[in-house]
Amino acid sequence: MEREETLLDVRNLKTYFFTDDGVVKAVDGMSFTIRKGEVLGLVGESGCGKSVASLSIMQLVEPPGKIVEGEIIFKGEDLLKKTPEQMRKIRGSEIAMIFQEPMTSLNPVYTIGNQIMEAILIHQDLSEEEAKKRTIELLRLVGIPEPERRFNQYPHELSGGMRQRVMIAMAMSCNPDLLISDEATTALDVTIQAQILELMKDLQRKTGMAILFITHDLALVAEMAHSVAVAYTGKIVEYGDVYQIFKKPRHPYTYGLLSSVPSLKTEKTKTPLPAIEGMVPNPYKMPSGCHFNPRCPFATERCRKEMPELAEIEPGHLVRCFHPVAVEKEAVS
Amino acid sequence: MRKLVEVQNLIKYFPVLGGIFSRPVAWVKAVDDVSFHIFEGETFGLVGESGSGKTTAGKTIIRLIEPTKGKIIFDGKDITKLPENQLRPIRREMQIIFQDPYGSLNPRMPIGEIIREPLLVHGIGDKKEQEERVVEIMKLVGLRPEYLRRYPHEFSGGQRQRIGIARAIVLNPKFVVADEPVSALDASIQAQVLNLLLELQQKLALTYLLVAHNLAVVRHVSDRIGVMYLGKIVEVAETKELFSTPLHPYTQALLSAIPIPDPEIKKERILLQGDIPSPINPPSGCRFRTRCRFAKDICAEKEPPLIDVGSGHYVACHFVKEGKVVEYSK
Amino acid sequence: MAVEATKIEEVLTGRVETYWYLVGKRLRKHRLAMLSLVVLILIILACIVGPYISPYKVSELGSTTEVLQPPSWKHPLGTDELGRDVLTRLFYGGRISLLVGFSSVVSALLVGIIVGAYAGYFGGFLDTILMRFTDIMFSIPVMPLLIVLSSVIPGAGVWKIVLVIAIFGWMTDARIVRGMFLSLRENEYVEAARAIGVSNNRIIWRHILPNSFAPIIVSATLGVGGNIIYEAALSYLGFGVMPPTPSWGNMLQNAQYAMAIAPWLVWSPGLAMFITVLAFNYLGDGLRDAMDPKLYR
Ligand SMILES: Nc1ncnc2c1ncn2[C@@H]1O[C@H](COP(=O)(O)OP(=O)(O)OP(=O)(O)O)[C@@H](O)[C@H]1O
Ligand SMILES: Nc1ncnc2c1ncn2[C@@H]1O[C@H](COP(=O)(O)OP(=O)(O)O)[C@@H](O)[C@H]1O
Ligand code: SF4
Ligand code: SF4
Ligand SMILES: [Mg+2]
Ligand SMILES: [Mg+2]
Repeated sequence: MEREETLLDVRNLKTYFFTDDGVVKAVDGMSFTIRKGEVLGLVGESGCGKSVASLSIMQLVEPPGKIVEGEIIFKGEDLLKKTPEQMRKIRGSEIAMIFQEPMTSLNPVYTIGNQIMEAILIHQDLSEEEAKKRTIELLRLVGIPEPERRFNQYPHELSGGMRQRVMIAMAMSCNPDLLISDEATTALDVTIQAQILELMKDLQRKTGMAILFITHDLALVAEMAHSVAVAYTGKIVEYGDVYQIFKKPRHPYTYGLLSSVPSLKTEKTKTPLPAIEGMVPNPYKMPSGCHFNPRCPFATERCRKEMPELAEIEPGHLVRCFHPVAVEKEAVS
Repeated sequence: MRKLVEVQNLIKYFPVLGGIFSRPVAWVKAVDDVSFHIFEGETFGLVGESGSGKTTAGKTIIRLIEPTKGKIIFDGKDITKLPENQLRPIRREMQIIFQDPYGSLNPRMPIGEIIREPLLVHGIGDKKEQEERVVEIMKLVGLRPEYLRRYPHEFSGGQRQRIGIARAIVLNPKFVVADEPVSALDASIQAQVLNLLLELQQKLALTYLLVAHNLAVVRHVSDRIGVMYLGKIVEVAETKELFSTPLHPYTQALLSAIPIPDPEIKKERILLQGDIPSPINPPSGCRFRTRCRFAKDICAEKEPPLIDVGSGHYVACHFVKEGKVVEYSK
Repeated sequence: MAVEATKIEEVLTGRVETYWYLVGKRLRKHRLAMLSLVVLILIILACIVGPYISPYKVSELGSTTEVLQPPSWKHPLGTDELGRDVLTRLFYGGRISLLVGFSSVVSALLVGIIVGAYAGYFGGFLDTILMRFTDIMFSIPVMPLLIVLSSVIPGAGVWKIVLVIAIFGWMTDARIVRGMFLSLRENEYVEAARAIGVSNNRIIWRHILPNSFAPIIVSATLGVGGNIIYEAALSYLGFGVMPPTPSWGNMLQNAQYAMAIAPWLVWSPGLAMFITVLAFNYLGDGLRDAMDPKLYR
């Protein structure tokens, strides 16, 4: 893990929303790194700041949101110091992004072929002819049958899975070094989701691009990612490689989350699941101390007063907790 | 075991309106000749991909959607054609929990009123008794009775789902259709609500029809499972049996597509090709043939019937025979 | 479980955040709407109290020397051609104009809500019938009809005016309400109500109607202003409130003959009407923003 390998280094990122009712600290001091060719899974429940973190990297945060602190070092340069013009060049060529709902990211009045071609022409010095050829190649690459015919279809003529393939084709059009996928398969059916995940894995292996894979579904992370960052209330609470997180989760939240999902192996069906009590706190009324303390079975007086730091408890495994879970979790599934 | 619900050859087609006269120009075959039964006290899981007709089937059974054809027998009584006024007393016995905890609660009613409404409508008890019952139910589903005067927007998704559950059980029904009761909830909240559903089933001797697409959830809660594809039931079996020996090629693919939260397990996936065809124009013969890796000529010509292959395991595939003989490769 | 942060006492004593409480909270942030609300309250108060504290009677004729007096200390807004105090008449006329404005809106709404609710909820044949009827009512050329009518039925009392405005003014409300019902009936909470056996009438009035209040109230607020102008227009056709009962409309109409020599006669009711209607419009806009359904589900 040498330093030059680092592709993206997010340091102490803080993105706040200044709303009428108060300040929402959507991302509150997140740090993580992605090496070249690495897939980092960012998991957490809705509202924990996953999407805002990814929009911050792309600098697409809209008012009342504002990046108030931190550095986003991409290939050695701080993206937060770039001009809007420079960022525009980076978006779509070096960093590409795909979203949950492909319909809203595709323009309904242009054919999908035209939209991909346009993306290519903006960032690459190609003739129309060549761009069209490349578009058809890309459509074939992402597994769209009869790409020549599909080229002339409109987004509404495609199914959800097809549209997501188009989004991926568009994202791949300029060979990005980093692909951000924000819940890209959440809206899809399991069998279609399986297709898209397979496609993303395949493209990743072929091109060596890095992926920031954002999802609320732990199972998908286990399948896709090399490393995992678990987020809760705008902060990373546990960070490590995929085996550390799934085999030896140390943060009570990660541990609780993994135990509460029904497993396909257990014989104990129809019995209560070990659920995490309570619910995610209101963003305007964060509890003092560790934000997880009202729900944490291990909370002590200290947890209610102080916020723990994200600390390394074994090489490459970071946990934000005063009393990390000691037991080794038995394998789930 | 007694059959509480029996569905025979149920069909529901939705019109696709078009033209200047808004006449039906085509039909969405949402549920197309489906038969199954639910035993008293069990949880019957209905799984399948989106648009396969699960919700439509569930809502048609409790007559929230009018069936196009077929027969629904509830508690020994044919309710298929009952007019609404005769149906009303039976509605007490069958309730539904909705998928969307936001859309299914009236935003202008305090939650106490939402839970009391069924009692009011069926004229059960006087005001005081009704209020006592509301408090009792709120405690039962894990809501603090002090919140009775508050409005739905003040609650989180998980709490809203509890409110919806309270409304469904306040009349002491026998049968509850739970349409994706946890899929809109966060991971850490899903377990709480599933636990509540299990607990209520124990305490109140409920029979559930659980509609869901998350197979791990369905496996955890259901006694028997039906798999739907494009308006048809393709396989029914006891939960254990279905997961250990899935016989229909679609069930096999569906099970293999479940993501597993364990990085050490690298599953061999059966990747299905293509998308689900449109329910307006489903493929001839076996509806799964366009994506089936075993499809042969006969699959396009003849529709495979749902047959009992032994011990209550039903499969609809030309190559699965009685006694669980599988002859795909031929 | 649940909202740990909130203490039980807070729950029991605390303010229940009803929809209307939230709307009020948001409305308070809307400066122009709040200003309009204050202005309207002042105008309404003045119209109610004014006639009592004024030293003059509404129809008290002045002596010949007091005819068409420009504004002075004695008559802050001058006097009219019969020597009556304009300010007093303005207060009294305001009562009538506002009364006409409000009651015609309420009656039109009543009809509009009933027609719109049943059409939207049941759809199908009933909807077609009711909406065709609405279209027909819409296509009646009201003004020419009234001109003819006014020659047949001379002069009309306040309630006749209200009736006329209501009869020709419910269609917009009906369309708004129908639109709301068409979309609201698709909500899952309506399905939930059907699932527990709630009757159609109860679903319409108790479950859906409260959810369509927002556009109805906005439309009603804008409608009060609109109907004040409508009454004025009817006055011009000789169909408005008949003198000697003053309304802002007929005061304005009377004044046109004396415009050149006594412009204050035009200014006073004109400005009063202008400010009132503008205030209702701003208040309506403010309410529209404050009740934006996207904000609370
Ligand atoms: N009211 C309706 N009018 C027309 N078509 C409908 C209606 N309701 C459902 N359908 C269609 O019927 C089919 C089955 O729908 P249904 O909602 O039962 O699917 P489902 O299995 O519950 O899917 P999901 O997992 O997405 O909830 C779909 O093609 C759907 O578009
Ligand atoms: N435009 C916005 N205005 C105010 N708050 C916002 C906005 N966008 C996001 N937030 C808040 O920021 C937090 C994190 O949101 P998000 O990153 O979208 O969560 P997720 O992890 O589900 O992607 C949430 O509390 C959310 O309500
Ligand atoms: S710091 Fe304390 S409250 Fe927070 S997760 Fe660790 S043990 Fe629980
Ligand atoms: S009948 Fe044919 S197409 Fe259908 S599942 Fe069986 S093998 Fe596949
Ligand atoms: Mg998100
Ligand atoms: Mg459904």
